[in-house]
Amino acid sequence: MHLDEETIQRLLHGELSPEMVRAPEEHLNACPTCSSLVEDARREEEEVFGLLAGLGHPVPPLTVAGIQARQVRTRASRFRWAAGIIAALGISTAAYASPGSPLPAWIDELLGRSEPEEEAGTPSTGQPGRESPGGGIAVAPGANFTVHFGSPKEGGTITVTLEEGSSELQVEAAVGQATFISDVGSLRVEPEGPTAEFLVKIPSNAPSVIIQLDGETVFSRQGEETTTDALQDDLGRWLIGIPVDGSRHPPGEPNGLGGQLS
Amino acid sequence: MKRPDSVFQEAFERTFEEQYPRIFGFLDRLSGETELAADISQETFVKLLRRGSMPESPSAWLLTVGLNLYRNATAKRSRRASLLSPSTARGSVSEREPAPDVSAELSEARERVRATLARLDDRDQRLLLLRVEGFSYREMAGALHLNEASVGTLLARAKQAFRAAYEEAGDAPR
Repeated sequence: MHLDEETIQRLLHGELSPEMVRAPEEHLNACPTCSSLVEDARREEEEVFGLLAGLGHPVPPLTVAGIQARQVRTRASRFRWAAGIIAALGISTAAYASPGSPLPAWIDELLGRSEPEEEAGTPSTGQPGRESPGGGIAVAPGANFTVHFGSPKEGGTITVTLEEGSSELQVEAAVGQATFISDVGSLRVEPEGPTAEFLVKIPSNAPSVIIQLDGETVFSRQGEETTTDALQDDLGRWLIGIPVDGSRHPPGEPNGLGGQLS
Repeated sequence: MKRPDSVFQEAFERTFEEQYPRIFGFLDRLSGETELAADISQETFVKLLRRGSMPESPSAWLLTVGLNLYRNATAKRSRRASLLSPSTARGSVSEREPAPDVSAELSEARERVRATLARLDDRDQRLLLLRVEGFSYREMAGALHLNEASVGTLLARAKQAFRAAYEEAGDAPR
């Protein structure tokens, strides 16, 4: 049995543990075919990486102090924006404090107290590290919260994760554009393009969060109990498929779109 | 006992020393624009500083944030370009002209490499450039949301795709 491509690459890159490297190395000593494959792979790598290395430029000098200075500038600028917006809108305390109100999150973001776009990329949560060109929103979920999604014509995905220590429910359009309409206790997300990929981050301590797709409940989190037909990936994210043209799979089919959940 | 903010500060400084050159190098090659790469790299670390705590995998977190910022920057530029002139909207960052101080020969060689890179899909581009910067399979998998067990195979395919595209670019009439 010869070495597979994965093993050859891992040998080249030192990506095999000491226990794992022994067998392939012994095989290489006895197998000219595989030795030759490894040599070819090494040559190819040198050639390709040599070309790519030539694209680089010297690293510009930057210090931690420089980063801190930029952070201060950004914060000051955000504060001015937030102050202006708050004054212009005459936001009431009640509106700010309402469950489901997006205002606290907006203001926090403007003040630099939260980072929805960066958290969206936090690998520890397993979130696909994609942009959010379609925008996003963060809301306080209150006691009961429902997120209503409309279906894009050509389907898409809703990825759901639980966030430890977070107090805001976040929804982002990772792919495609969307309109977010927030109300007390609910959020409506209407995709504007043919396809969309959404990320929903639910605070793990939120009392009650329901996700609906075209009026059908596809995910429910009540206390610590989660109910959904959606499959979970290796990172514990629930992947809810949005079918093309709203076509539904039969209940129980593992696409996250099974039957109506209670 | 150290205060939490001083623990974070130390971790931040260590991470900055280790990761800044790699993050910049990756974004520089990806974008083809040193200034943009420097700006995004800096902003990426500003975000980490503002976060106030270290993520589980700092390098993958930084890469993800850097890539998000890069995509946002290119998307913004595309939108702006499309408003100014429909014909320029299609040009990506990586297709911009090289700096004038680069010699003609070097410039041509770089252009060919960059054109080759542009012909690969996003995942292959990123895989190759991350590996050139020495990121581990785990870091690459974390940043690109791949199954770590198949990173080697995907890398091998990306290298093959690059070679084939590079040879094709050389054969193409100039």
